[in-house]
Amino acid sequence: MHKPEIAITRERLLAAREMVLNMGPQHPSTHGVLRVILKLDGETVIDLDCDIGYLHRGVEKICENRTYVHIEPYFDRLDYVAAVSNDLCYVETVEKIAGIEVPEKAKYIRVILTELQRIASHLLWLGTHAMDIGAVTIFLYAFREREEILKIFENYFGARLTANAFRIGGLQYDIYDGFEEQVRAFCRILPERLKEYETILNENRIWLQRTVGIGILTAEEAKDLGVTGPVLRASGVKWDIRKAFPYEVYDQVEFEIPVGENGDTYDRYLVRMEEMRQSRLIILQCLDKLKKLHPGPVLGKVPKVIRPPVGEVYHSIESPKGELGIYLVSNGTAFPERLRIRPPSLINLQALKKMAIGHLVADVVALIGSIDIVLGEVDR
Amino acid sequence: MEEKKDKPTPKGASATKAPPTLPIVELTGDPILNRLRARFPTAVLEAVTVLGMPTLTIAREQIVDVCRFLRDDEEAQFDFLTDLTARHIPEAEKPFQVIYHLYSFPRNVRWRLKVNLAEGEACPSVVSVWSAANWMEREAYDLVGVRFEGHPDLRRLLLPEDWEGHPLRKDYPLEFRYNRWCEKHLNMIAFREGTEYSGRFE
Repeated sequence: MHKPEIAITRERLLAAREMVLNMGPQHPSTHGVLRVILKLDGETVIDLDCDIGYLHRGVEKICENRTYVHIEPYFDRLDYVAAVSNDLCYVETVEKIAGIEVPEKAKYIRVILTELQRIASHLLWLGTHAMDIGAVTIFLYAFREREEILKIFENYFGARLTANAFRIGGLQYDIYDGFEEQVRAFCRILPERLKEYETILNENRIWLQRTVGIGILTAEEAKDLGVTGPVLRASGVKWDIRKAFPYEVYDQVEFEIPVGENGDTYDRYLVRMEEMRQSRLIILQCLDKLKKLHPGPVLGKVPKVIRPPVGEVYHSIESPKGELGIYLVSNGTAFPERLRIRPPSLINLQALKKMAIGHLVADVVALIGSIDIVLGEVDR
Repeated sequence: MEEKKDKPTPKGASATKAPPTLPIVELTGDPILNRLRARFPTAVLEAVTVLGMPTLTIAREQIVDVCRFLRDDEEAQFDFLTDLTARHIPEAEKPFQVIYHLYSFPRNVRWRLKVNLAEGEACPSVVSVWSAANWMEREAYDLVGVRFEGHPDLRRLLLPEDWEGHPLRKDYPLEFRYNRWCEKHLNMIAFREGTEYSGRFE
């Protein structure tokens, strides 16, 4: 196994033949348009710089010039593989500052859909991450299950990726006939399918060589770098916003927070696998409770034009990538004064430098995958 | 403030009526605030609570010391910088504001700190306290144009190096305007007279 270590001796410095390698922006393993400038000694990374901003659309500026209802579709396109989570964060922020009540039933449906989205996002991550490392079969398997979730989304939202039916104050649609059966059917097959992936990966020698001990991030380093989400939990910090600041109905369901021990790429894989199982448990509990509330209203009382009172609010949720936060300043009009998005991918990506130094170029590919970035969210 | 005349206004809402405000409660008796005030008597300019979030306005010169104190103090334990951002308030006396969101893992508490800056004033960098501030400060510099003193690598983060202007300032238009970068890199030889480049959305 490769040990991350660079002894900088006089001889080594004198004999150094450093090379600068440009990775990306058009490289499939960078998951979008991330450009990484690597400084190499042989094949070992000695320095690294990320060049981002290729997808910068100025969402924060656009938001200042749109009404609160207009803004929502822009959030689908931030983390475009987890559109539902982004929408949830936005509508909750506006509900919090404007004091809008959401019906109980809508909260349960929101949680079910958000957790399905978390599983879909993690499945996409698993497929692409494993393919980066060389396991192509997993990609096909993971997309097979993700397809089931996307079918549910297509039935409910009318869209597969930019799923948008969350509204300020509740939901646009009630659940369709057969929603519960379809979600339950998915929950039935998920555990055995997850086992299938683990049979391929968990004791696979190549997988272990490529992930165990790669990119270790200790708990202290992770906190210092502002890392959140599965990457933080893999470092052994038992922290999840769903438990720390429960939103929606997360305080009424039971689930565990999986944590890792070593904070390496392998632990990040294990944490995400376990998170999918926990999400499934949350969905099943919510489905049981939803039954009692059905039929019922899904949209609360919302003013025609939303004008939150003057003030500011910070609200964050546990998105599949980490802490997605919104800092919203309202000036009392129908337009926000300032809307800052705290994207988890961007801040987790900062830790890449810390993780990658001392490893090989091929490990950088594994590390970018294990942080799970989406460039639409990094660049905004 | 930019004009929003062309946007719809609902019936019966008069433009002159002052909009409602969130209740702002004076923050008193907080043990950590008292410790902070005892240690730095002149640092805390204002301490209020907005929607349950303690919000402190800190003097510019002392922000790094205050942050380090809040991180290391055995009762405060703010070991995590959740977010750092900046705001442009053209009508204010000090038109720039840097906003910090701190979080404490052991206590599960969030605090918000603010620093007001006059035009041209630089904000001391807190990268030495939390490494997480590195890219967040670069982003604030890039988009709002606040300089951070003592930042190890203050470059633009999202926009190209030679971009002109800072888009999140209120005087920066939403629509397209001439920028030398566009001419240089997007192969725009000349801007034709009378062509609408704004991409305006109504």
